[in-house]
Amino acid sequence: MIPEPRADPLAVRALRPPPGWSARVGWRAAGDGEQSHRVLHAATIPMTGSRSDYGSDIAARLGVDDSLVVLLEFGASAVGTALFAPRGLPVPQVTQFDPNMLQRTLPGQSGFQRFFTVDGRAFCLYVVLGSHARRARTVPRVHALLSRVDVADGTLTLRGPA
Amino acid sequence: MTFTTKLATGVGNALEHRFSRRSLLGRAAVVGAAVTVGGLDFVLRPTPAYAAVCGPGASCGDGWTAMCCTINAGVNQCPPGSFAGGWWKADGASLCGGQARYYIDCQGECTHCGCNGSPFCTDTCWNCERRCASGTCDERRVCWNVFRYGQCNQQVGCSGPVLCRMISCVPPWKFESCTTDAATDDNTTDHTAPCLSPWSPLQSSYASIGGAGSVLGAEVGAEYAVAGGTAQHTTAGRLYRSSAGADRWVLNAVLTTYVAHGEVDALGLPTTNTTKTADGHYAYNDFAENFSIYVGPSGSWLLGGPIRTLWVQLGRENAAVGYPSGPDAAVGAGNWQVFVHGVIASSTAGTLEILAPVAAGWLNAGAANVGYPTAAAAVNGGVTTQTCTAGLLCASSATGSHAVYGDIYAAWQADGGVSGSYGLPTADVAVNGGGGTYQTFQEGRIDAAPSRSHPQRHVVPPRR
Repeated sequence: MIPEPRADPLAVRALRPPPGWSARVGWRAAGDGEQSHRVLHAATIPMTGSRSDYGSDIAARLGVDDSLVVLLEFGASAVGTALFAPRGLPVPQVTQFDPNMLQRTLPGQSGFQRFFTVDGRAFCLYVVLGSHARRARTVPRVHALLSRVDVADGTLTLRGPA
Repeated sequence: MTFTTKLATGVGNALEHRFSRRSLLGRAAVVGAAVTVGGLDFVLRPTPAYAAVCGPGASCGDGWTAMCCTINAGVNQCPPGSFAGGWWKADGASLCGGQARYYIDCQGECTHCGCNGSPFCTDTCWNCERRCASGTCDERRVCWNVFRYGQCNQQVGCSGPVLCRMISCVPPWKFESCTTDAATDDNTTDHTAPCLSPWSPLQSSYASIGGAGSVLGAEVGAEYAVAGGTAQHTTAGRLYRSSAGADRWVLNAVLTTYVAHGEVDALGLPTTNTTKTADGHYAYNDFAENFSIYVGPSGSWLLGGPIRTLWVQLGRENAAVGYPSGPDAAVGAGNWQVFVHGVIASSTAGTLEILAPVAAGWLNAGAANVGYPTAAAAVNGGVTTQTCTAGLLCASSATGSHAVYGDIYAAWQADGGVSGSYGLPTADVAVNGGGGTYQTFQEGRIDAAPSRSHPQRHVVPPRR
């Protein structure tokens, strides 16, 4: 069993998910030769710890009205590459969710994945919906969460409501 | 019996029991892998072995991606038409000796369209077809999950789905174009397939030299037992481990010859890695049953028996005969092998080099006529001679290299041979008009009747 991600003290202090969401920002201890970066996990189900940076174990527990949002940061070498060329945090549209756009394709679910750069930092946004059929209902809740994402000042966190 | 004959017998025996042994070993490998993956759970419960071998989530409906070796002819690497798109690890994996186990997603490619703002093209552009793997317990998905970990080949911004997963106990940034940005998924720790080897001393050795990034390349199929050890196929050769714990590899340049001659069963396990020769141009392996295979300027050739023993004593490729340039051949009570600069011949008379300039005469005459050398060549007054069991090799710059043998030899010797009135041979033995043979010399010609029962006659007497 790998250790759970260490909490990011800066992020925890300011982590303010919308109602109905639980969230956590942390990073794992880097192994030999590795670089470890912040990862945000937010889900509409309780998170007792994840053994997966892309949240495969959380995704497997999603109900039909649940969602998982993962925001994973990459190292500086990713900035400027073709994969991370898009600028700004993407906002997934209902039509962009695909039942096959998943790390692990489970019946009924759908996903969304984009790589992008914000303020010279490279990220991946990965969203899993518990039910593709009910995406029109769950995607607005994902928007509400993403509207609070803040990567300013070198951190990765969720702002409180304005 | 020449070593070629011994080899032929060995290969036959090897083939005879390879099939029965492989099926047995295959079963043993499955059970061994199952114990490694499933641990006591596998041992104590009546779980089908193949289910345990592939680990959890192995059915297509489980939604995970299949192993590359399952769909790539056993080769544990990204198949042609795919590229490493990212990686993750599972820490503390028993399949990597308790260390991190790495998973590299191989992405399919887009054939004729872009991605329109997404990192993925639509399925009509994929160069692969969505399907479930089949044929083993690894029935996971192929060309299905539209997902990317993102640390590898970041210069490629548009791709297809994950085609398959390559597995490694060596960090992927050491052999693929990947960054060191770590990602973890401990839920996949025990995902495996029959074409992947369980952890073993040999696998530890493979990882220690760099795994897929080593000179051996990617693994092909699972480790298997051979006489006196274990072996692992790779894209660039094979890695062997003896029961005594010695790990040695044979690269493809040598391997083809090694396999053609019966591999481990006939030649024994390798006792060296494939090693560059001192000149840096060629390569060789030595094997436990006193064989060597050299890849030299004239191809890849096996050496064994007394010929190899002498060649090694003489300094291998630094011997006067140089690199081997042909196979071992047997005629009568001896055998011989051609080298770039001569021959080594072995018989009851001994094992000796036949070098230029007399080698050409010996090769033209053949061992069946002039026999095998009985002494090293001697040089006297610009004339090189070497005695053979049925004649003499004789060469000079003026007369060339020729063998004198049979009745002609007897007559020539009776006349004094090299110092006699006929002088040195100027041509090889040839057939005369009467069905016999003749040979020209500096000062005459000697003919021999067709049958050895007839005395030779000197149709052209010496001019002096």
